[in-house]
Amino acid sequence: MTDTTQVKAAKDVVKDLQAEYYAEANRAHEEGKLVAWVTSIAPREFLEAMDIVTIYPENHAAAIAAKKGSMEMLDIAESMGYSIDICSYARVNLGYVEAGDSAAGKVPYPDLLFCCNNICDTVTKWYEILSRRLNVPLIMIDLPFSHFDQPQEHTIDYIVGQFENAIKQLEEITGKPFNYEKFQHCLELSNQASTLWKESFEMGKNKPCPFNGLDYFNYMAQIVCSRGNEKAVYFFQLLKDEIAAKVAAGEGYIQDEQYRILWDGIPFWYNLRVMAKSLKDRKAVQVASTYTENWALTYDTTDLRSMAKAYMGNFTNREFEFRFNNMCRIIREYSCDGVILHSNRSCKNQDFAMYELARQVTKATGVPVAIVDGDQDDPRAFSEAQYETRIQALFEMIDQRREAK
Amino acid sequence: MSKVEEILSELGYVAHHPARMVEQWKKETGGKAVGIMPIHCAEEVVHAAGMLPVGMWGGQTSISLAPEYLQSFCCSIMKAVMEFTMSGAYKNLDAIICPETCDTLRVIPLMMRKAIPQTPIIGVVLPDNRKIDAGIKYTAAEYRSIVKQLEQITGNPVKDEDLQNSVEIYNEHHAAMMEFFKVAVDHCDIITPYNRHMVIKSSYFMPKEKHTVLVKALIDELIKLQPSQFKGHKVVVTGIMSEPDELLEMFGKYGYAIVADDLAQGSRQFRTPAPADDDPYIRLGKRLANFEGCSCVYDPEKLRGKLLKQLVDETQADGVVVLMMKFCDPEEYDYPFIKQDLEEAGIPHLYLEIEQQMESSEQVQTRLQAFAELLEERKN
Ligand code: SF4
Ligand code: SF4
Repeated sequence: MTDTTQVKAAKDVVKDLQAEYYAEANRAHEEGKLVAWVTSIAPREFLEAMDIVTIYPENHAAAIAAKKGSMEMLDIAESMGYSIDICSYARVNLGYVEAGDSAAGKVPYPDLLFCCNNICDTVTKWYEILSRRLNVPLIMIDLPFSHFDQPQEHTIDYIVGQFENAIKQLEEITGKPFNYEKFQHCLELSNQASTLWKESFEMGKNKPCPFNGLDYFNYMAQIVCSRGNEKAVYFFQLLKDEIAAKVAAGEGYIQDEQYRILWDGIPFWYNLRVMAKSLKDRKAVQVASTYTENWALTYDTTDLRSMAKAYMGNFTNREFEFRFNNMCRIIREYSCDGVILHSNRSCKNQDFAMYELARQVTKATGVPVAIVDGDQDDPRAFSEAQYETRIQALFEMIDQRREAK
Repeated sequence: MSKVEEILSELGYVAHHPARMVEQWKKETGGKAVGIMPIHCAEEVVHAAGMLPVGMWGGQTSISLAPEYLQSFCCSIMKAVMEFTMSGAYKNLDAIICPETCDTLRVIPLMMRKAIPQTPIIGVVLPDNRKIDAGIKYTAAEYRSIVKQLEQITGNPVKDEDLQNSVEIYNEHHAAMMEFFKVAVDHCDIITPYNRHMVIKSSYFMPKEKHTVLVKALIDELIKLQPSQFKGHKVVVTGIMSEPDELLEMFGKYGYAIVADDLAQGSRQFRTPAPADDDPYIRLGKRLANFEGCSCVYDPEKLRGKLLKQLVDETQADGVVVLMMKFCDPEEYDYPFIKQDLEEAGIPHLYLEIEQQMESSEQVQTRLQAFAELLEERKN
């Protein structure tokens, strides 16, 4: 971190941090530090406590797509026999393993893998493959899907048992005793960062919305990869202050915003431009996203059971009523006029509840919903013309609803 | 009709008439029936509760209602399941148990709850870390939780002895099935791919103790016969299932015999016995811990290729057919390593994409024919 970052906008700072992050990771790897490949909502505090460098294949795959490099990786994976129907993050990453370089640069290869399936079962399959392909140990944190509104006690017992097991595995892999003191510190920092993260995006409730919600897809890299260390706290404090100042000054991303939109799902990384443009042209602003909410993760830092519960609580790991109530809540709290749901070819866990969710949410809130087809990393599954048609229809519905009022 | 034919025809009837079997059971016993979705849920818990466990592996139906819930890129089994759910085909089931096997099966039970709110949909989530102590205890606790939910439906408590008894009955059934598969290898002319499947499929729609009797009788009859001099192609199949029926008929038509399977609907259900323990729930936990080689069970070593090689060696098979269920993530992730392992072992394999609702069989025919020719050439 350089001092000049202090005067920069959060948007630029995050770019620097991300560049530094990869450079540092590559350097640390050369210096013999252990590197783990980790899933996006894994309890990385365990790794931070042991000074292990963490790399996020999902983030890297997103960055590769944003730099228009995903097709190259997808081709490699598909030529190995990986079906075009499986998650494109996995395909891009499995292609990267063979290629060793990408449009978004290199990341060090892992000494261990740390997989947490609270987001999907896809990552379990994907990390199994990495473990065999790269011949490195896999620490699996299995956070069971919850069919109940509150997790059952035996499920929490199981997770805590796995945390304890993971600690043992980490001690074996690093050859060092687990650093409980540092761990405690990481838990606290993690909670601080998550709280700041949440406080910052919740300012999207203001009218006009002080930020472009799409920027949160970039900020996300930090909450994913640095939650649990000082950097994240530093960055999210900066972000929060910046947004708070805008709110105080009554400043909006679009001063005379006309529409407030909730986005559900992962963006099309290879075409953020079209997402941004289709909103901006209509003076619409993305005020919230169900995706960013996933890292608003806080828990009692003195209780592993509380941590277990927090980490299994993201919406894709929960039953329908939670997903539904959560979406209705966001629509209400952020005064959304419309919702865009991304029917993402990669992400079956989110997709297959989507049609029902769309029906129920519209019924309960009256807010129109558009379902757009696509994929986060595979541009072949996306049609710009079709996207534009669906978005157009959404705004027409919003207008009709306003007229009817 | 020979005794063998009689038994096969009875099993074939059962396999094709699940609804009638449920009705018959209800009439005869006054008991209830519980649907069990793929892939891994110990049926023993339903058996112990005095109910009939009914396998729910989709089926052949045209898909017209399911798109209300599901995008086109959902696997055909779950499309069929949703279709049947919505059309009322499951109305005779008093509850449905749905294990979380893959991303698709995280969501399907949630949608079933919407489509048929009157039927209890019981979710079960088995552990990935199934081998550690905490994992075995968790499996046991998940099954205890199912049993509690079933007790509410029947109004009768399930005692540990009941479950112990059911585990024994299932161990015996599974052993009989494995024995049948072994004996069948010597009778490929009678136990065609289609007949073999009927023996498996029927087990999902009748009480296991009855099925065991029939399978044992079938084994006894087969043993009495001269082993056949089978001249066709012996293959091992792997995948979720080997349906629809036309697919199996094509196997027969092109001279294939299935000498072993690694199908989710087949031997993956039968090959691992529940070890002894005083606590029957722990027995089920330990069985899951010991089980290997399924795309839907955590396996960082990716042992499936090795296991297939072993099956090929044991049965002297000529090759492997990978029956790839279209849009099935777990199987699709497993394929490249299976391919690599088989190639390294010099075992030829055919990759065949299948759907339960196969619209055109031409491509499958061509590929089966070409693979048969390849196997023939290798023999010469
Ligand atoms: S995009 Fe969906 S399926 Fe792929 S890794 Fe992320 S959550 Fe899992
Ligand atoms: S995706 Fe595969 S494992 Fe999952 S329900 Fe479909 S066939 Fe079964």
